[in-house]
Amino acid sequence: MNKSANNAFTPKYAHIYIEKSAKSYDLTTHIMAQFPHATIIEIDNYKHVFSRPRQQFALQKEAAKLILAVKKPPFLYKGAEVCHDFGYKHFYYTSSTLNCVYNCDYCFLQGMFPSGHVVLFVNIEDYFNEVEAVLAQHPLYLSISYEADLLSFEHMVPFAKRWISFAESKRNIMMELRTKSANYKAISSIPAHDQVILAWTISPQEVITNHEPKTPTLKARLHSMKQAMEDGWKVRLCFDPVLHIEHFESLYRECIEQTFATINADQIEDISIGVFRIPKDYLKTMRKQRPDSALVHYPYIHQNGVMTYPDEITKKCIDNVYAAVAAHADKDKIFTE
Amino acid sequence: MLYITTALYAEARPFIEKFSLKKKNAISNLQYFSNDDINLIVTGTGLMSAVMGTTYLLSSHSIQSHDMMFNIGICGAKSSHFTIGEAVICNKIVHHDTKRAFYPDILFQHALQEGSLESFSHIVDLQTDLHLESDMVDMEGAGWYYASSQFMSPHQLVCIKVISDYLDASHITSDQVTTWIDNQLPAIIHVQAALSTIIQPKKEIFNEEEKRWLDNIKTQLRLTVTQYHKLNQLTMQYKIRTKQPLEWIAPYATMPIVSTKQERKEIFEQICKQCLYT
Repeated sequence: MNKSANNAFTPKYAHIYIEKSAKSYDLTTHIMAQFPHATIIEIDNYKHVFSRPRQQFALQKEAAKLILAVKKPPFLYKGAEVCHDFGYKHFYYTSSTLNCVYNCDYCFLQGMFPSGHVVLFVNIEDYFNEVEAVLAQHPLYLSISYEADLLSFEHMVPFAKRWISFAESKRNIMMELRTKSANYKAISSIPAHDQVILAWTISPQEVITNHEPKTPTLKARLHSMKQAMEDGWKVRLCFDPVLHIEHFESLYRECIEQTFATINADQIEDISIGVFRIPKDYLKTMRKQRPDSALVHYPYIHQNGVMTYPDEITKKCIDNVYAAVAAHADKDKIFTE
Repeated sequence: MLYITTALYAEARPFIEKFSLKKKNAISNLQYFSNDDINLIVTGTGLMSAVMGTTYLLSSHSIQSHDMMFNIGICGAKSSHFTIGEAVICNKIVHHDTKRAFYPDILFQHALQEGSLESFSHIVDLQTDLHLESDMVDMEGAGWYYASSQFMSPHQLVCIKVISDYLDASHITSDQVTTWIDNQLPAIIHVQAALSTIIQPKKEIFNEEEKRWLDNIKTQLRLTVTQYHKLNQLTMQYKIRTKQPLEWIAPYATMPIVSTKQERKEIFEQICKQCLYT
């Protein structure tokens, strides 16, 4: 996108769509107070905006709107098979936010969602009620930032804080908050507890620069992660997705060296390693949305409904990263596909 | 290409004069004007007319991702929040009869006010006993949006209404209508320019020579439809990924026609392999 085009887009969240039923929630008031100059448009159902046909996800990311809505059940979904479950039997995810402030080339959301606009579900208490009902039946491993990077929104809506505080009193829940943000300070006032794992996606700076626009630098992410560890939180390192790009061996090796020069490997809860993989239908949509992305137009192969690298390339990527990580960390802590 | 619909000739006149649009005798009941960059149709008043005119206009062209569709016209305002003669961009358009709402995707910056529009099947005035949900009323907007959205993305659709009255349209003349639209023409052109800045034409992946090579390879190798599709996909991915021209493929385009399926298979696999990472 050239500079003049960038200037022609509306500022982020210049328009806020609000479901009539969402107007009475405290979180709506909290969010609205931060955008006194936004144009407010009342809607009956968030899908009337979010699910319009023929939307352009990539264009919308340049001029994102906010949609405030009330989520209807279900509030929890079974974790996808392409995701690591870290050995937990009851792996679920939940989405109090749809879409993300970042704009990563490889993000599956652009293949999954019809819109690049951001949906915030303001009835967070309803989520908590359903989690409690499930916890009465069995323990739960719950990913709370699966379809968004919650921590990056924390300045706008305190979802991460609310979820973390909710989990504190529960004995049979393990909650993962995954992020690329450097916004740990937004939750640093909460005392650390064992029910939450803070997980950072770590990428080489060259990958961040070229393929993860609008995300914090590697240095900033590591700094945030270090603070969380020093405060006593369980921290997970995610080298996921590992991308098969030119010089990937040296790029990931240097990234891993920088990571373990900053943080103490012994204090890491665990480490996940995975290559790029995405449902076939999502990739098809992504290729239409990003006609110039080398990453998206890589000749992936089809395996059981999932597009990924050929086995020999997957092995090369995983082996390379695994060896570099294993030089610093206990092998029992490393999870691969 | 810019497509425009208006309900009345008086609303279209400023565009016809400003852009020297020429009348086309395409269909007797619709007034249709165009030049190389603009197609404008006067649909007549009412929702059905708006649907018919819009559908006719868009179905008779091959719509591109960088095209734009504008609905321009006068409307009544519920309150004096808007001034007479002011142009307003509609961010919500409600079909009054069905209560179905449509939302143009306003991704471009502009200096106009925004408001919601409610489209009725009949004239609305102060005597009409109606609960108005929106800021403005007209008789075409919802029909125009519904028809346009069958062909284009929500960010390509722009509905601009010029306030003509506060629900009392009995004394409006066609000259007044033309003057109001004419006064807002610079603002409307500004909106069109802003939108065109953010929706650039799609870049062609292959140049003309490369397209010829691929077509020739299809003939020389007697490729099946599936193989030709795969060839196109792999070469496209190769170009996007490597940013390199496809010159290496040229010799395959001038080779003699293959005589056996085995020969075709071997050469095709060779090309595919060259397109992929090893």
